[in-house]
Amino acid sequence: MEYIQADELQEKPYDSRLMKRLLRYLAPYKRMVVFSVLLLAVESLLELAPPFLTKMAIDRYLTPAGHVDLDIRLAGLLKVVLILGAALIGGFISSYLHGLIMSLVGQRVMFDMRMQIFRKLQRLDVSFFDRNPVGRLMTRLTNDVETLNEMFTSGVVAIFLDIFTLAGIVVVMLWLNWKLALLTFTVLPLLYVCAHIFRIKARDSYRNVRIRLASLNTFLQENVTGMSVVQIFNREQGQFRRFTHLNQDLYDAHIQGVMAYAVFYPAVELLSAVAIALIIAFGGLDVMGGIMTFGSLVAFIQYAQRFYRPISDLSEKYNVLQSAMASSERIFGVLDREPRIVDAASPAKMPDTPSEVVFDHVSFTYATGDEVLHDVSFRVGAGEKVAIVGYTGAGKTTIISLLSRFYDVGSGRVLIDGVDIREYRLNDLRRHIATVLQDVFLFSGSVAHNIHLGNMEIGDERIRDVARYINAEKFIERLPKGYDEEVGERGSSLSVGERQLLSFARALVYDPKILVLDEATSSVDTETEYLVQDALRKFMANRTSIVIAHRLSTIRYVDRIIVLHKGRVVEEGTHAELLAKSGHYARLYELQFKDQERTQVLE
Amino acid sequence: MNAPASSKEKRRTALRTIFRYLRPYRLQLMWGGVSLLVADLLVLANPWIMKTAIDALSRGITKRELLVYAGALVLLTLVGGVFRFFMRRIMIGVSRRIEVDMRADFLRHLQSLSPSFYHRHRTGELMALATNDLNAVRTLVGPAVMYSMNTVVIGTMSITLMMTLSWKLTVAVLAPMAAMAVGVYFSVKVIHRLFERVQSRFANINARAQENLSGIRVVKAYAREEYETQEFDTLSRDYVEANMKLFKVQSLLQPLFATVAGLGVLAILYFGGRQVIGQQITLGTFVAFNGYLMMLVWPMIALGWVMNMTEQGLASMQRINDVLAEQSDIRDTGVALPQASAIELQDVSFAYGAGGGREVLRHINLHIKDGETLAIVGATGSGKTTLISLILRLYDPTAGVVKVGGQDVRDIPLERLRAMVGLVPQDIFLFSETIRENIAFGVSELPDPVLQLVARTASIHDEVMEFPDRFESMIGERGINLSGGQKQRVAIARALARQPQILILDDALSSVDATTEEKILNSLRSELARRTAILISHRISTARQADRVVVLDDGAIVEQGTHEELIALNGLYADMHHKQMLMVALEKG
Repeated sequence: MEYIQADELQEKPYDSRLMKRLLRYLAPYKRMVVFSVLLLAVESLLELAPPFLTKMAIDRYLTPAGHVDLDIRLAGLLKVVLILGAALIGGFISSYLHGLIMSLVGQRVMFDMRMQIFRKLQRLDVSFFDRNPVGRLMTRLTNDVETLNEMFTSGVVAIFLDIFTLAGIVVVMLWLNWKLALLTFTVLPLLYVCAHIFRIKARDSYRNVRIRLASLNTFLQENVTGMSVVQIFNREQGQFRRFTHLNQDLYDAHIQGVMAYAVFYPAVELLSAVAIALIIAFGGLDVMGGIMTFGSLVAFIQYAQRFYRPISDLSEKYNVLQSAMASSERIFGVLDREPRIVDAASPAKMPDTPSEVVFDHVSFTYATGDEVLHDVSFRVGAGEKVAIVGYTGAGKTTIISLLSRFYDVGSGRVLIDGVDIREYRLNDLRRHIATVLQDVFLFSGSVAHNIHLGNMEIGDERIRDVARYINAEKFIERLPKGYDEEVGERGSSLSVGERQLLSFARALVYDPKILVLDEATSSVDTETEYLVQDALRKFMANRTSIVIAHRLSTIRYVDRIIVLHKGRVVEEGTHAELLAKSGHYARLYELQFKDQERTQVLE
Repeated sequence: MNAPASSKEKRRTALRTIFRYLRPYRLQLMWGGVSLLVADLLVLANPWIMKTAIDALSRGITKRELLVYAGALVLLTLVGGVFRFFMRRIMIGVSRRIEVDMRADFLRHLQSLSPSFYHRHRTGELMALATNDLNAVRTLVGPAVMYSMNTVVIGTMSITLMMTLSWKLTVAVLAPMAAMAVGVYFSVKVIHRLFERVQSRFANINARAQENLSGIRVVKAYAREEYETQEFDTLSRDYVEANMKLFKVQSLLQPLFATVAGLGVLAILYFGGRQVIGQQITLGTFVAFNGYLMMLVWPMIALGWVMNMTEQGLASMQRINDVLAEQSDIRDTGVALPQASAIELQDVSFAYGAGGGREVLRHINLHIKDGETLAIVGATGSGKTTLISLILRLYDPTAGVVKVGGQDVRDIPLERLRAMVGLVPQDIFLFSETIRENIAFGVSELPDPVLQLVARTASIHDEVMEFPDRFESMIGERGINLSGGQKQRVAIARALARQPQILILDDALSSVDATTEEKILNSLRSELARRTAILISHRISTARQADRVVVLDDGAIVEQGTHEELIALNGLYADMHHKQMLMVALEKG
């Protein structure tokens, strides 16, 4: 379907620097490419054979100059036919093989490139993904790579075929009758000009079609998505009129293309007829004058009919090159980006015990320029449970992001067991910390898959143990296929609470030493709520825990509460202490937590 | 829903639909056919001229005669070319016209369908019909028709001519050609199947990458980058493998064409050569045969293709027909005209989906007087937005009656009903057009002073004036990105621009802070006073602007009265009020 982004319509003139870099992708397949080029040479040579063999048959055996025995003539004809048959088979094999090999090379190169982009995307910082919408990155991985595929498969190598073939025809014709050949060649420039003009016209039309189709489809998509707005505002007629314009514009662009083709094909036929007329008129004279044989005349006509394809192909290849240039530039744009958050040169060893977490005068500003943390300092002792509370926009989630190094601090330090987290290996750090985000992201795949996330070291036994421990087993076993039940995109079959439990299990199978959790705000039914709370407590046991709390029971359970407001730590202490202060926390408590009391009492 | 039709019947309907679209262009198509015929006949003369010339050459010929032959060749091709131009221009042009017609009819039909249709069909699915399937139908009415006519004309004519030259040779040459047509037909079928597999594997890669990139934070948090890469690697390999299977067949086609054409040449060389030696045919005939053979190659290849195009085109036409057969479940047959703009709901219940769905509204009785401002408050999912959908007749109630201006909404012409209402929906949907166009969306014309006025009333004017192109600024990907609050205010201006008798704000100020909200409400006050209005909000500060407040809970009205009365009631409303006071305090603190 034509969902294209504006930047996909670009073309770029040939750029040898980009080309060099692209050709480097062919290096691992050098042998195949060389073999393919050799096949091409054979192929174009064999393509020259039929007219020449026809000439041979006519001159020597069909209408020989002197008297030749009938038997010899028939035997000779058979010989020529056999040679032609062999040439056909050879041509078939070489052309099929070359097509196949180049497709294979193209596919391999695309595979390499796609994996390279994917690997790079896995390494890039979260901030890169903040700036680049998923759709744009998808285009790099799919459409752009496909465009390059076209270049590798049908572009670069096929140019050789066209050149070989053209050169071969020219040489043979010159050899047969150089005067007539030169005369016939006069149509070549015209043919090229014709093909060139056509290429430009066709490309313009194609480009217009793409642009107008894109806006027509955007319009259509918007109108389908916003159909109720259209209907409520009685805009059916008006929108339809606008659509009619877009529809007509697209039609015009198409007709532009139709015109180009409609003129081009007859023009080529005409030029071809002119060439043949020249051959008949002047070649005929030569035949009458005995300078040229009938066979050569016929071969000449057949060669002239083969001019056109390589010439028009050559002019088309440039188009392919241009779009390939634009695509490769965009791809290299991603590949050349380097993550800023990387492993330290000589990483520190991650301790294997519950650790102390310290924020030491941390400030942080997002790329958008909003400072969200301002000189934040706090300490969470090993095995201690701390809740962070605050009104929306206080910077709570940013604390989670900094701790797992999704972003690096602007200033200050984050320490685990006294060591700056930038000193650890990223993987060690993230495995050491279990991050449970508020929106549980489920991957397509089974329930079990969503727990182990593809880590096959985690056995079924372990998954079941963890699920049982974390109160998730009950609901999982109620699913029709249990652990093998497919969830994912439409994971809506699972309730919010069940998703929570699943995400707990996911975090717990790694037996992390630090738990960082963003409690869900949305309410769940009482029973599930109880299960979640119970699971959370089990989870926090023996772990350093930082919880962005939305539950009364949680803030009552933890050892200490940190109150964040507008990016600063404003209060710190136990629930009772903070309430007694009747400051910020007290108000927050009344707003966010107090009415949970009623439900708790009911329990 | 229409009764399930048999596949044969569907196919017939598809054919009928196609003929219906072709009919208006029958005269043009006739001219296209005539052009095709003339062009083909002229082309067919070429080998004949060559034959005559060569035969004449072997007998001896004057220079002048030779030039006449050469001239005739060029002239015939020139004239033939002119007709060939008309052929393509007319026949392909008509197919593009039909595409335009079909696309327009498709949208017009979509516009007539109610929201319940859009619940059942995703946008992507409808877009696929309007693009891929439409294109397949277009290919059928254009190239497929043209090429099949061409094949018939060139095929029969050149075969006839070849027969008159030498029927034995004709049979020898045609055998490989016929085999090729059959071969193309089946290989295109196989290719199509393999291609679909490639597409589905490609979709897998896409889905995987999309999921990975959307969930990149989880992937990173659990250090699953390596695993994800391996998975992607596997899928990419599958894709490559599917592609190679396709290429193994697809790469055969081109060399096969060349070889089959070559086999024809070979047959002519051998059998024709023998006949030349035996003096049964002349050298000229031998050359002419070669010429006719070359002319047959493309139509034969096209034959196999045309058959596939036809099958795909018909299948697509059937899919499009399925949507065109859908009827809106909102019948627009009323003729009653509402008196004034009072709104009344009498014992209204509603459930989404036909039968068995959970009731979203239960026994609602509500009367909004002409000119009154009513606020509706309640938790998410309490049925506020559904209630409004019923007033606008996006759905019809499962039970009970909705009246506007004293008339059952089912008796009011839809256009008339909706013209009375200015709605600011909860999910603001703006079009990728200029701000002016978006504000003027619901009116045929919006003079500048009015535009400025409604923009001021909606408190968006000053911000718009700071954009580089002011009211002409494009919204969306290719233009400026409006914040949630800005979008909401543009939508308010859009609703006001209609000068509606009834103004409905469905949580329309949720994205602005309380202070801004108060400012906007103040400037809206006179607008509200002049109209019947419904304010849906989760903010008490909005609700208290209304004459009366209704509290919805789980699809039923649980409290109603003035702000003061409800506070005194000390129920759900009073509780919300208390909490929001605290929130204000927090924001300020």
